[in-house]
Amino acid sequence: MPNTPLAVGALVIVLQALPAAAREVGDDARAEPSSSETADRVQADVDETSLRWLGIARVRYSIPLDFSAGAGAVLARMPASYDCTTFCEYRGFVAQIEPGSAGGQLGVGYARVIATHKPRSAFLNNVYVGWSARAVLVRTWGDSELDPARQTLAGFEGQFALPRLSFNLGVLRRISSAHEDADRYVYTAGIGWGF
Amino acid sequence: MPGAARTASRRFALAALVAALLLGLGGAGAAPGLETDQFFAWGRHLEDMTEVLNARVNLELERLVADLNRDGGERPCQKVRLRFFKRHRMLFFDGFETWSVNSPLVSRSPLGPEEMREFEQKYIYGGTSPLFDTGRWMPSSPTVEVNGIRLGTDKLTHFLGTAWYYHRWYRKARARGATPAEAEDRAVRRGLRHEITILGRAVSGVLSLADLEANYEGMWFYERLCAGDDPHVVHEGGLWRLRGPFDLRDYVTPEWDESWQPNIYVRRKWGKVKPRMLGYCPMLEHPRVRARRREYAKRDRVTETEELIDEMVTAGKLPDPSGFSIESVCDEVANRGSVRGRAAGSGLRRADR
Repeated sequence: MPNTPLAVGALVIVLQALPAAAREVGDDARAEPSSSETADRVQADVDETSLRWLGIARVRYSIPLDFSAGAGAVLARMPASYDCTTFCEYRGFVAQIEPGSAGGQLGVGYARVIATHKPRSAFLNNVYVGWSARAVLVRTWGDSELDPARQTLAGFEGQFALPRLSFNLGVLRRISSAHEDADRYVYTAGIGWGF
Repeated sequence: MPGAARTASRRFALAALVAALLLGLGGAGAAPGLETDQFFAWGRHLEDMTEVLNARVNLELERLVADLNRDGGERPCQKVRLRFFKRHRMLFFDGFETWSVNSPLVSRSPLGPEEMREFEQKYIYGGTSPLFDTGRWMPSSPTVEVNGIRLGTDKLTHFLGTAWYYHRWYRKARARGATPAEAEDRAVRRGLRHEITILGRAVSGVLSLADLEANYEGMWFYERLCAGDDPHVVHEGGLWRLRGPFDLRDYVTPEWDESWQPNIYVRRKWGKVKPRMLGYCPMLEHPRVRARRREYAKRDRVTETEELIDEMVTAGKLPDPSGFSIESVCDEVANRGSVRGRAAGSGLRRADR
């Protein structure tokens, strides 16, 4: 006669093991695409945003400023966790002041730029690609090609930037007084480095 | 004043030329590249990001559904697809890629300034000129791991961004009466033409077959987004809802790993890439690398893109990609006696598949 207590014990062990075995089989089946905990973390990461400003700089040759150097800032909202070591897209308000050999310009507008900045630097370092549309106020001086040489203009400027070059085109309307023959509109163009 | 205008034009042209030269040279240290380098990640530990990336895409799908319900009413599937595409489309890069290269939730390589500096030293395209190699005008894409497969984050842009255009070509062909197989073929061929010309080989000197694979899989993602037997998003009972969650595992294959699926290089670029690739020959013996490539070999299959590439190779229109594989490079050196045939005996050759 078989040892009954032993057989019962073995049966109990087998029965207890069954759910575990079933669970193991279940584990082999494909897991859910993502857990709710992960989903919550991702959502928090995406939704927690902060406003960041970063300095921008450019040097360029343009009509009517001739050689100029500009400095300003881009203010953009993005997820707070972004480290921007590889790249970030900055989308937002841009403002820049730019004195040149034949005039100076103040511009404000909207920019979208993919760029990086060096650690602990407040300036965009590598601009990969970007564009901006700005309302600009220009005052010419010195040996400006315009007639008259000293005048104030207002208008719009579009900028397109590639990794090493930046191009801009625009149109300005004279807002200061001038003699009758003076052109009222000036078309602008420029090429340079930076944003 | 015509005289003054001429002077200004001449000065402007001169300045443009000088700027192009000086600034080009001055920017020599600018961007690491537009490409990706899975070799750099060899032997480095990466957490599997399947769950995290799935959660990111599903979050966007949930928001798409919420938007659709807010607007109300049924709408054609193609408009739903476009709406999804527009939700994450950004300037040049896809929103999912931008997130994945920045989020602390994503394990990637290189990560952080220190590893980034190391990457710049070892980058597989680091031997090319940052000025003349257009592929290096853009940032390189770090490597992530999905379902045991290593891939560049650029594949997210291909899968969810470029693939949108593949899908449009597919739908266009279908609208013109092509069968699904014919439409797929037309889309894949057109995609290859783009990758050979404006997006890849002619511009950066690299034809990435892995990119093509991601484009192809993305085309099917867009097709299944709201149509077919098992769509992700459905309109039922007057409401849009997420029927089945998105899962990257349905799409990612070993062919997305550029250290497994070799690129095709133009000669000038290959001359710069090959010496750097040679540096990885000893790594073929690394236990993690061996194990991964063994696993890849099991999961590898002949894809539609590969069939098309084979056809082009046979027709003499493209060089054989297997000549650009790490095994091929290492064998070549081993056969010359510089390195004993380590790769030859590994049994993990993709080219022999």
